[in-house]
Amino acid sequence: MALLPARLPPPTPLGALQSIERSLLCRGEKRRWKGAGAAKGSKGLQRDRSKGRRGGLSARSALTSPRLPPPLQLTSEDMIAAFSQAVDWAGCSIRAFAWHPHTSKFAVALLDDSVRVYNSSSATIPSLKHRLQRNVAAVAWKPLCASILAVACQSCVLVWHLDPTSLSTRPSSGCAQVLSYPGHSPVTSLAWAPSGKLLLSASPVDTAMLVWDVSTENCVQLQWFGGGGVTFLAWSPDGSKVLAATPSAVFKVWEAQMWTCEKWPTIKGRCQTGCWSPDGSRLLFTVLGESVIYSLSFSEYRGDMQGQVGGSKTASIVADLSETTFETPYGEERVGGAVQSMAWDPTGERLAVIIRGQNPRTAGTQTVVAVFRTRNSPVFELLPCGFLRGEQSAEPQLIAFHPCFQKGALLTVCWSTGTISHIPFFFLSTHVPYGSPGRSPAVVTASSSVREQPLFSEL
Amino acid sequence: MPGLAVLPTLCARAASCRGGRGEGAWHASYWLPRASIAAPIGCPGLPAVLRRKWRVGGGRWAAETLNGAGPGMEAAAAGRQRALLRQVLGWRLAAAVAWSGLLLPVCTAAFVLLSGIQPLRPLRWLSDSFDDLYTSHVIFCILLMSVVVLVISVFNVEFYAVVPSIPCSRLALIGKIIHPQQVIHSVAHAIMGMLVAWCAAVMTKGRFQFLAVPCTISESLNDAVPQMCLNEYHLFFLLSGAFMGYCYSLLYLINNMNYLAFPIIQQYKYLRFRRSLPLLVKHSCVESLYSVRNFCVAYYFFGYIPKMWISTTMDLRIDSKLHPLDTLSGLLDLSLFYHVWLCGVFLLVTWYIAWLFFKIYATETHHFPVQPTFAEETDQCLPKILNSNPPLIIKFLALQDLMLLSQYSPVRRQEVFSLSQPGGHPHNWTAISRECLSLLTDLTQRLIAQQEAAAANGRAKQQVGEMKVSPQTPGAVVAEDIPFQLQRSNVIPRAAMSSLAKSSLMPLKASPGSDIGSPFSSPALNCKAGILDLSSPWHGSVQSPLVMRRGPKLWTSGSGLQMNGSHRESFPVLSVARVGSEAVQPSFIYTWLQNKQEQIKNFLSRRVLIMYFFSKHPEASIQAVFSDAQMHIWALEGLSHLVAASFTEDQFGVVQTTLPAILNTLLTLQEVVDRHFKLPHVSSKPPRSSGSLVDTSYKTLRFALRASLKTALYRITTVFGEHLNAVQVSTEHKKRLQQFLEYKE
Repeated sequence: MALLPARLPPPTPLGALQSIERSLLCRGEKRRWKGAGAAKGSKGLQRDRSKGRRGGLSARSALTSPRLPPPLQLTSEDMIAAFSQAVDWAGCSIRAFAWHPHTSKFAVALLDDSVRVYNSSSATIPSLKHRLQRNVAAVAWKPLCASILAVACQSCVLVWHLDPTSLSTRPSSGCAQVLSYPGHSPVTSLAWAPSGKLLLSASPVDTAMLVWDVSTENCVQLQWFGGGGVTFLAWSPDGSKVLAATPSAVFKVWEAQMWTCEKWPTIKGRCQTGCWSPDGSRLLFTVLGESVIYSLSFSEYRGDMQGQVGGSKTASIVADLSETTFETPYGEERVGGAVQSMAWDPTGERLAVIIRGQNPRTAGTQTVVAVFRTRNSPVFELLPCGFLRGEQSAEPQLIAFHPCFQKGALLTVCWSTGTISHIPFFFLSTHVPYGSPGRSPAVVTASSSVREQPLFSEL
Repeated sequence: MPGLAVLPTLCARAASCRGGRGEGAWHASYWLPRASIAAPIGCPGLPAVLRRKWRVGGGRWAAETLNGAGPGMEAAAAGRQRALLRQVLGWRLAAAVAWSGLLLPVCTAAFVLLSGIQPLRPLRWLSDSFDDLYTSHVIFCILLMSVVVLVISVFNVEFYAVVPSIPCSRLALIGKIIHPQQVIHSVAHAIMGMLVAWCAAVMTKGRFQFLAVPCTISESLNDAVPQMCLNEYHLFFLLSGAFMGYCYSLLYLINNMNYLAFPIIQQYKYLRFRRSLPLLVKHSCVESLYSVRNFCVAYYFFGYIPKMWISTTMDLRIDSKLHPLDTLSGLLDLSLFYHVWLCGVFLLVTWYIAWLFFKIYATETHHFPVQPTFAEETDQCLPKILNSNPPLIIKFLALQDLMLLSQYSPVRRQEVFSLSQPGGHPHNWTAISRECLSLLTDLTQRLIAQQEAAAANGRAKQQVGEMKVSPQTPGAVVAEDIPFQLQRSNVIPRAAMSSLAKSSLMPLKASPGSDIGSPFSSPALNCKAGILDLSSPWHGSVQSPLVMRRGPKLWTSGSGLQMNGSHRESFPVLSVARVGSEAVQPSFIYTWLQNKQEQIKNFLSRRVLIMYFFSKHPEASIQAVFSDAQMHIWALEGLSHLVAASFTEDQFGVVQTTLPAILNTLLTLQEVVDRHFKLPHVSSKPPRSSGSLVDTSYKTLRFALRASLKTALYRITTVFGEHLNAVQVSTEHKKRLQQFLEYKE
């Protein structure tokens, strides 16, 4: 296993993670994690089975939940900053990042409200600007499509139809399709269906998330009363389930065929981020204010169990990331804290987590990217693998895995300095990336006629 | 004509003549509408399949079918189809009616509560309203309303369409409104509206309750028997109810509310209903407000007519003490306005609820078995249904089921890929893929025909002109020439057509001083010169400045003529330069006649009123072409998901045999669709109306088709990857596939 950062100082030695207690947990196994909130947390994560299994309206929950959760009194920019996956959305020059699901192409939303599209096989860098494109919180490429990019803006969702062969660096705003719905702003999260048919958009002020049929601009509201709006969306790679986090201490897992949902109350706070295993059978998520990663397993998806999400009864804690001290060659370092965002690589063998530092000003812990080795079957395993740190004073902002890297996994980190680095992990995978073309390794490299820029330099 | 009509059915039986079937269906569909009323003003691209016809005896279901039944087979086929329909849809419709009936008491209670509102004495108001709910007349009204809702539901069932009928010009819309079918719909709704208003008036009580009231004392002093007078409030109520019923019927037609739009996501019925309910109430309130306003205006002007008529026929006096309502001061009665508005909301809510339930139940997915478990089920299994010519709604449901099973159900996919037990033939897959491919091929041919029609617009017109020398209105020309062109373009295959165009282009090019710009030749001839080029751009040949200036046009004859005119003006230098050199001079009288005809057409087309009615809306014509595209979208999705799944799930390799055909069909369609989107107006989006009860999704189906076509191709190329190089396709398609493999489309 090699860890090869491109422009980074040498990574923390791999063995230095011993003091983070490994908490490899199977369901029903005796739990060994530390931390006071653990028992409480698992109790809090008993699924709310009593109310509305079939997606019915639960009036009681609507009444008991606060009418306006505190975050909703924020201005919309503060709201986006609070709910964005980026560590420092308001201050950093990179606000959102997305890999194209099939090719080596990615989109970056910048502080000046423009979105740039970088392509490894072309030197032109289109810069997308539109008068409605303000305060971009998320970008997402349409799967099974060459170049359609959805951008979550303050007032609407913009869908850019880019010509992949075009050499223009400033596509006109006529290429953008505006999807707006009254009361649905600011949009903080987007998710495309892996089949490329539907787009989900969510806003923290709208209790409904919208399902868009982008080509006809039709939308369907998926309403669930109680819990405020929807802050974060994650569609499972197999297309069967969607995680929808709310600003209050509850999140939902929708089943994407009949669109019923299961509701999960948490005790401490809202669900901050989550990611799905490639087969959609396991959800890892974190809760704001707790420095642990929870895991939630789902029964294997079969098309015939219509309208059932099939989640297990309780979520289990699989990793404790609370603050610890390390002895490193550079001195003692403190690492640990709440998780800001997570990314799981398409083979399901690496998990990257941005751990937010407690207080960077007072020489407390710093924000780092922790990488874990994972295995999903036959039993779930999560083993520490290493930390990634940027250059001096560079903090990680956003992380994402390349969707079809053939030689293992390719992690992309956006740093607060504005640089983006690709960090490859070379390993032999038993699985093939879900969205990879052909599932046969020759395809990406096949088009040798065009100039391919390497995404990383090997040391 | 019945002979022609029988062609598609016959061909559908024979698996070998797929191409013939497509053509046959095409012919039949262009012959048939000329018999129906709407045809001469109908849309060019709308096959007869899509037109609803007034049924003459057979079930409405039968009218919905593909018009394919000849007289001989009709009885058996219709019987089987009706049984199928009853089986698939029967219980759904019953449930829809039952639910709308069950919600009626709730609506009535709400109405009673709101109509007796007393804001200053809330307790009294509540107790009064609850007392009222149990009175006999409210219960009687609920029973009467159930009958009304039943009638409305019957109309919903009779009038629904899975393919919207889109009027392309205003005249076509008027034709639809005065169509006997629609007139019956309107009259029935007006009567139902009056019944609802009567119920509302009775439940409102007070001064609205009775039509005849004793006159005020002052007038009946001299008589011993109290005279009966007309209660104008009651009359106002009844008439407003009738008016609203009529408005409902009219808007039902104009907004295509009989169109069953299938939802983009599957949801439970209860959730769908709950989602639509707030919209429904809001829509009803707003629409009722507009109706009441319009009705007040109408009553102000014409209110005296029914008043006089009722009072004379029923021998009722008009109370001179009371203020007449057809005056400004009479109409400015806030309480009257409120109650009439509430009555309108009540009417619309109950009717829309019935409509909504019907829609929800009818578009719900139906699970067709892929393989029959019992022998008697063979008629209901998916491959069989797809390959027969079922009623359109059944076909839609079957295709929707195919899309869902291909996407979500591995077990059922396995059944599709399975081999037949004795014999080992992949019957299921063959039947399903054949039907999907033939649907897509039909669409391809229809689009090609459209494009050729668009390109050959002027030429066909001229040929019509040659046939009919007598002057005629532009509208008639529009009506006549379009079916004509389309037949032509079917008869003449594309290659022949282009060669024809090219061969006639040759002499034109050979003699540079031909009659292109001659002032003596008719504009139609100029047009011919342009058109000959116009059919060529697809084949990548010459692009003359003439072509660049005059883009192909799809719709109107009027604007076409104006274009001819402007074209002539735009080449003055050319015409002056070429006056002398006339290569071929048509006979003088003929030219004169042609010129006269063109002048008359020009003259008529400038009359605003005529143009207003006859001019075709370009957007509507385009929508009409793609009005049944939902079928094709599902076929594309189902097919591509199945092919993608076959990569891992198809044990016997049954899909591989059809893969070249599928790729060919999809790539050809992709090419044709791309070309179609280059026609004027096709790629511009119609304005969107989000969050309204009226479904306008049919207006943007073409974009959905384009998107799902691309997605379908990408789905296949993404899964198969480099293996596609081993599939036998033409070099042109291979290039295209490579583009898809590199994500550059």
